[in-house]
Amino acid sequence: MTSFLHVLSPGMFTTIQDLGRFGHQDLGVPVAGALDPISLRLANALVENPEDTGALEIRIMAPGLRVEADAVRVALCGTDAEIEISGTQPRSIPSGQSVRLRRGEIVQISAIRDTSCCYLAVEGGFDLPAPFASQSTYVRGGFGGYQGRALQQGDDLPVASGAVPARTESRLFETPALESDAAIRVVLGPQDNYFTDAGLRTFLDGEFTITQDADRMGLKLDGPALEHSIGFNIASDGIATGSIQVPGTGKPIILLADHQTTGGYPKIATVISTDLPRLGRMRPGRKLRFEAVSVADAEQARRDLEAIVQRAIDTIGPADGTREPDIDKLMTTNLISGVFYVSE
Amino acid sequence: MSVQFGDRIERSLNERVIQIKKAVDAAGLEGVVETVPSYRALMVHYDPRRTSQATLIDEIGPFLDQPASAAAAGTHWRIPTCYDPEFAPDLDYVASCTDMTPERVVEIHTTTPHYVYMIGFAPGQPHMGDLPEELAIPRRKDPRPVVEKGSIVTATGLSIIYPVTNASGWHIIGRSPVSVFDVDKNPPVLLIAGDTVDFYSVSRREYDDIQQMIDEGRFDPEQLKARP
Repeated sequence: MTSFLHVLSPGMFTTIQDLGRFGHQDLGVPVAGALDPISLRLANALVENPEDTGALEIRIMAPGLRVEADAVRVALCGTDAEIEISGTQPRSIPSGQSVRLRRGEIVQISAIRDTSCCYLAVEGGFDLPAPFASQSTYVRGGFGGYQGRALQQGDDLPVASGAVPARTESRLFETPALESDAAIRVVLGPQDNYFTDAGLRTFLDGEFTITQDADRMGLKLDGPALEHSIGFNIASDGIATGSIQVPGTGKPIILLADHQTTGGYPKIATVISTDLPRLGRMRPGRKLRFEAVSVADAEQARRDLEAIVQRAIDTIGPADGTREPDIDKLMTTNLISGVFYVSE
Repeated sequence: MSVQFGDRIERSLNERVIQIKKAVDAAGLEGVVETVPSYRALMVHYDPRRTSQATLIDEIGPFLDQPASAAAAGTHWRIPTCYDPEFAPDLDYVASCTDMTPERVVEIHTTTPHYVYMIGFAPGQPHMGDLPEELAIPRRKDPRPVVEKGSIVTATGLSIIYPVTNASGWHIIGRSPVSVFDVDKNPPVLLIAGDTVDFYSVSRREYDDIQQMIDEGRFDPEQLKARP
């Protein structure tokens, strides 16, 4: 018998996302994938999935799900909100802990106030096609995930493991906190020469606000206009996740996971990959500043972040056990700006 | 990392981009995730956990020193296009801008060999050129929110076939029943960078016939390939 999660309410914009669809941008196929890949990896680790397994990406308002399978295991990461289970045995499970759910139980998530996205991973993942080798939903192209779109009421999401055995649940004892008021770090270019010195200064000194025009494709920013020098049309070239393009209005747009593969506006800078999860979690109204770093510093930050994520995954242990965080070790090894640990 | 070859749209620069893309892809360099060619630049996406820009510059640099080789010929396609007013709301405007009759615009469009510079912006979307200078007109000031799938649009001497219904600031001069992207097909993308395209004019009735064959699964894209 096929096993499902039945969608009672779809949430604001719930999609299935994995770590992205790489290797096809030369055919115009965008990467897509999780806005906060760190939280996705942690959620997958808690249910013992490969880190790039597709999970539900929840945007601000969570979906309501009913379990139409004998037993599934899920874990929530990327928020302080909790999993609220109703049915014969009502209970709440904190973020960062796995839980086994029985047929008929209803899953909801308490109000999400701390992020624009978080992840609910399901042990074994979803039994869905993977166009271009990825389950990430690309809504504009209408493929990936569940029927190429955000969830709707009444959807039945087929899960790959519908009868998971009971075992001691897992808990993440140390969470890498991605919240910070530090400046968003960027590498300037490739078209910083399309801006006047004043325009570049405005970019690095100014304060910007994320507008309501914010989705998986990009964040339109409000703030001081950036002055172009030699026009605002280039012969279209490639775009990286985090590219900051500046159209004729002078207002920057940060391109995120669902970005188009190429574009014809000059790109003043690119957000370093280490700061993308933090950016992906930001909500409209949030204020931010930019700080330029070298390519070498950007690459080092990414390696440091990887070490932090790996260490967090290493703290996963039995949920009924206790584990004392090694504060000294944490203090000496993760002193990079923008990312730090919080202990329980 | 972006490897740039000037700032103009020019076929010789683009052939160089494609040559370097093939060389980088074939080299299988550690940490290179994918390479994305555009008009005059090659974007190299890499994983900083496995390599660095400095390493890649050392590794890719020698490819740039190699002489430009004659580009391997891409596939030559013939794309049926209906230029009826229903499918070409901007044809009269383009004609008036260029001081030509609409028939003359169609004649130039169907007799100009088009080179596929790049696939980008949306899945399977080909960017092709070049129309003669006399047909190179600026984009619309006011983009249209909805341009139907299959629309042939032009601006700045370039032409695009829309893979999906989308917004566009370009001028719509025709529509083809042929899909340039279909996620369920193998391969899903019809045209790739380096291919060449001739557009040929079909009547509304021929358009409908081809559309019906496609809908019924009786249309083989192989027949769009020009015979040598």
